[in-house]
Amino acid sequence: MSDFEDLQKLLRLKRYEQPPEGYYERFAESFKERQRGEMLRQSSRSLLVERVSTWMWSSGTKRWLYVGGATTALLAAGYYFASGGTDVAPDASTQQPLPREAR
Amino acid sequence: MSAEPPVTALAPAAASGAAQDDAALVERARQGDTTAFDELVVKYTPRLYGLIYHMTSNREDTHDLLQEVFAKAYRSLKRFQGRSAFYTWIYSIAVNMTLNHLRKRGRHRKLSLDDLDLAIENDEEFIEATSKSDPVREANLHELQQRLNAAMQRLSENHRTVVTMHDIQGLPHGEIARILGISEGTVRSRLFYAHQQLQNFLEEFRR
Repeated sequence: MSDFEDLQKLLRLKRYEQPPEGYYERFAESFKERQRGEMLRQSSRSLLVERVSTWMWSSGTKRWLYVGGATTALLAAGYYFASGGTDVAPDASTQQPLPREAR
Repeated sequence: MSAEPPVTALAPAAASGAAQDDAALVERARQGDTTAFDELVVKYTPRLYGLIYHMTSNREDTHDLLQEVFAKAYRSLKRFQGRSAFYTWIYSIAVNMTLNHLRKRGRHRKLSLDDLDLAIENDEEFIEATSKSDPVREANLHELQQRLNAAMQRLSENHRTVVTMHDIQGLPHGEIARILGISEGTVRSRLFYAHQQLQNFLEEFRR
């Protein structure tokens, strides 16, 4: 028998490398659970989006004014705190000491 | 170890019938019938397990990749046009995901021989099929098989892929070409080169 035939025979024997008994059934079950879990998460997320959009569309102009007002207030507060933060001096205790030659 | 017979590629006639069955299952799954996709998972798990396992030589990686392959296939089912058989399509997903995984693994760490899963040396069915009550032959064969597994890991990912699909799983050249998106000539030349490499590696063992 040639070297090539030997090699092909050896490679064919690798087909016998199988997972433990019952693995395929367990795999199918665990995949099913994972898939159903993902679907459940997706449907609860889409339910939330649907409810929020229903509330938004079904509500009158008054509610829209509340939402607009709250958004403006949040943006103003954000701007106030962001611009105030740049003036704060760095804490001296966290600064590195100057090297001896630079003193 | 399982006593089930090894899973290999389908014969052409059976493959054509299987493709029609798959098309019906895919259509049902696309319309939201999750049990139809469950059937496809049950049907293709053994074949895809073999493909991924022989490419990675690691059972944990195989399990994780297999989960990801089916999850991706399910998510992409709406985009599956049916221009190729489901079998070809899901094989392509599995090959691409496994190659990506191997490239990432190669970047992070070099695989040592200890990482290789050489479970076959304890496989009773394998021993029975090959030893014929000859302990010396059995020992030699096991050592040769271990060498072969190690030699497989020394091949490049592209060469290991065609050896796995053709020599181990029994897929014809044309099918491999369709799955990998390359010409049949490229499949043949990769196989030729891979066989030469493997023979050289095994020759080192014989000396």
